[in-house]
Amino acid sequence: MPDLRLLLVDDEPDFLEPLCTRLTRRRVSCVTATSGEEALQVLAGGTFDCAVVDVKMAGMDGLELLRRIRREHAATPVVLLTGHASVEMGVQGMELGAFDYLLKPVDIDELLDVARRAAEVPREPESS
Amino acid sequence: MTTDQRRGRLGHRLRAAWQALRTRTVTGTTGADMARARLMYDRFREILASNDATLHLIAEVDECVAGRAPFTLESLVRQIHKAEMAVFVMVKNLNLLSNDAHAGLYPKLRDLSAQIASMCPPTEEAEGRPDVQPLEHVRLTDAPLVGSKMARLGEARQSAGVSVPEGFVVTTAAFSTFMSANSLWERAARLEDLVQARGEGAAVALACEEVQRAILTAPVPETLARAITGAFERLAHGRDVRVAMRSSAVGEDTRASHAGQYLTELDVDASGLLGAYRAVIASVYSRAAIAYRFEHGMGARETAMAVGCLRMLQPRCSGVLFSRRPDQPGADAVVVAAVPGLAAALVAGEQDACVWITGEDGRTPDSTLLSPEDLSRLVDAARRLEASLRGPQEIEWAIEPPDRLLIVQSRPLVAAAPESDAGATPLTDMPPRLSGGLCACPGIGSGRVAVVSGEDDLDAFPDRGVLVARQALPSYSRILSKCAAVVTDVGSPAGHLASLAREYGVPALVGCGQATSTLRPGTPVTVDATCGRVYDGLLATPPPAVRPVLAADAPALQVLKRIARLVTPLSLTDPASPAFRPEFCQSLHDITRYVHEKTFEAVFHWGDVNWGDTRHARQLQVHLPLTIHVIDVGGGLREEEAANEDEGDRADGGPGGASPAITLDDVVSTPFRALLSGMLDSRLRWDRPRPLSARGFLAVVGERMAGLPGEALRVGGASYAIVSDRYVNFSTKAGYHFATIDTYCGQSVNKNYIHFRFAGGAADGARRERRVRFIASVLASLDFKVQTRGDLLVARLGQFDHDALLARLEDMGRLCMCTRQMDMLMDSDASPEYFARAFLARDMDRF
Repeated sequence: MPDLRLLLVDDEPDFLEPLCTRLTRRRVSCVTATSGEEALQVLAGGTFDCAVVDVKMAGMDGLELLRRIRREHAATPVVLLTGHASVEMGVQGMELGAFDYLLKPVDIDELLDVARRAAEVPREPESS
Repeated sequence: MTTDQRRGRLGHRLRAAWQALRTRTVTGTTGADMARARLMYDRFREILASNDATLHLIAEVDECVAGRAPFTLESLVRQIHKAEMAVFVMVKNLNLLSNDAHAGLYPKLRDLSAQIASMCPPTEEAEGRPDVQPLEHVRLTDAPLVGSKMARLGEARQSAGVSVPEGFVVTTAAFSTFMSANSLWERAARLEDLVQARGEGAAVALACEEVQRAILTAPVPETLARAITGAFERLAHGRDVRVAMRSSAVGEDTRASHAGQYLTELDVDASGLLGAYRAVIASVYSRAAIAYRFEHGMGARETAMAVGCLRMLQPRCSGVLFSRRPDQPGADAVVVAAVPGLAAALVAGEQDACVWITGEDGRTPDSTLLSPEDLSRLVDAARRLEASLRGPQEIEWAIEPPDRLLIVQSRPLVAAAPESDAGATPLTDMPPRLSGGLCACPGIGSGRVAVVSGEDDLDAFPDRGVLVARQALPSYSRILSKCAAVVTDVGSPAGHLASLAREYGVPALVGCGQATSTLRPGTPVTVDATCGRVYDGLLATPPPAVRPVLAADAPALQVLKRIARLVTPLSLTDPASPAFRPEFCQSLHDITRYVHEKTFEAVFHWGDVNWGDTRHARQLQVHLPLTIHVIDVGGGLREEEAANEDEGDRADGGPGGASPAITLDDVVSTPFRALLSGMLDSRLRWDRPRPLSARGFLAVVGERMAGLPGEALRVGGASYAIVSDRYVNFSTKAGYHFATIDTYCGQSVNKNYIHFRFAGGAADGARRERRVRFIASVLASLDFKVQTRGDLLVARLGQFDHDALLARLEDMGRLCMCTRQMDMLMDSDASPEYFARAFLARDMDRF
């Protein structure tokens, strides 16, 4: 039984595959998607502890995907990843409810810590 | 704080602890708490790093606005964008540390960022700009399109009236087209990020190769290929012409000379054009170029690369010309370095040259290389280029038979700061180990000899080493910032490495003949580059030369001043003021200040955070009246102990699955060790009965009985230490006060600090205040800045070196133990001063 189930979304396979390999080595199970649409399909068929989403993607971009996930799969926390740093994008991402916003190239240990923490946060608002 | 409030808070804490216990038993979570502690610590460190970076930039912008530092608007604007991003990371992390308690910063930052963007000049788009531009149409103002080198060459031709080789420029628009068409920007940008994150190292070298390979194998888009070959055919006009393809990056040759960082391809014919083009632009991502740009704070997109294609010359002689002496920029002299034929080997530092200095007596030119007429033509060209390109120049030239002088390149001369006359007298009477050579950058530097012959030697180059090499190769530039001095066997002051040495202000002696055979690796030497001598041993050296400042461009300065108003002013100065709020932040500086303050406030309550599952905190077995739980967030405990933690992750147990205890020997965190060593001071007699005044005892006992449930004692008794190798956040709730020490202690003086916060206490108000006065008095004597408000005390100490800081931490450890039940001792107004004196005199029997 893996520690953590992650969904990795990036339209660049060159980035996705090595990341997935390295995460798998750390007992993390990864499913990859190369577009926002594909990610939504995957989410419809299974549950994940956390979705790691690249902001800049062709077609549905990361912020739009974040919006959809918040709406349709509210239990899945989203960590945004970006190589293109912009304040506007970052602020939007955080205000839309991203769990965190990390800059590429991401430190794998940091990503893992963030994903673990995201998975740990209660899915429903605290009743107390 | 009233008793009721305190009771309410403790009750809340108890409930939280109980809930955490239940959660743990039910779910048996995996390493989430460790992950959480590590994550919080990383975010905290990231805030501090971003804070430093932002403050550096603010200082730099201030310098530029004041006209004290040179700048190009384009690069500064990019730096400001970088700072906005750093501020965003700070804001984000603070909100993540504090459960969005400061979310009001987001809209404020967004506003500021939008305002800054509206004032910045638009970034140019590739559309509508030509891929190829003939050199005869190029002026200085075309630099964004044709790169600095070609813009200056075009200007030299037009306004200085000198001849330049015929040719054309493949523009930055073409570069952009090429990079975009092959989706190469993304990779390039990640490369820069990698350097940023990892520093210069093997991982970066591999990534550089990867990006370069991608460029070398990517196809040149059809229209671009046609434009380049078309321009070449117009230049050749049916003759057998070859071209030199030279890099011309935007920003190259201006403030930072980039000398020799990029590739030049010689003797290129029609068939080799596109291959050579790719080779030159790939050099934007060479390891040396990346390191150099990083050093100067320039990003990849900033280095938009144009490529000049100039007819290959067949000169009878060529060389380099300085319109002023680099070591005496004030004197009216011109330096000419010449070699027969082409000068490529001269500038690459592989060949010695004949050197003339005009205005000096007794040196007549070698008639076979340069005639007096040649020399006067060169001097004349130097003066005209100085006038039209504003300032001393470093010029590459060639003379084609019979006597046609062509200027190949002219860039600002990086001159050393004027030396005092004393600099010309030898440093000492001692016989030098080595003498001779040519001064490439005056000055004196000492360090241990490091002989360099390949890339591996560069990787292993020691900090403040003396670089000794056979040749003065430009690839050495990436370690120049670590060099105390440079000494080479061959090379000339006209070479690229020499001009880079001047830019970095590293004393350099080139062409010494036998430096590599005379100077033994690892031995300490002192290089007096001014006098051309190398001595044994580390001799006392005068302070290094200061670099000259160039004049700033006026319209750019106006724009910068407007932008700077949103970046540098600080209006949020007083954290106690009601205006210390997100909505009053008016600049990036204000936001930075606010986040910094609030971050430390948040960190002071880390021990208060409900760590829930204490299985991941290791209990420290130590002879102290405290239960200390240690949470390691990176290198704070011995390796084996860290490994045990991972096993702990896997163990699926309830409260019985607690991690084994650790001892003092397992603690490797330097600041935590210092703190503990103070707490364990054997002169502190906390385990013996102490003299106690009855009134004091009653005051304490009375309040305890009035307020607090017995269980609270146990909850309040736990102390937490969040540690890394250089960091500790120690919070203790022993007694009824709450104290936090937060400290970072590394080798960098500017990053070191101790922050201390102290609040509460069980005795009556007067005693609590006296205790605070005692602590304030002790800390002020230990160089802390102390602020108190009622029985709350905050003290800060910064910029102490490693050892001094550790000594202070030992004092803090003693202080923590002394103040445990201190309020009982504070039975008169004179007590605070009396005990402060006793503490500082190490008279521990009093406590």
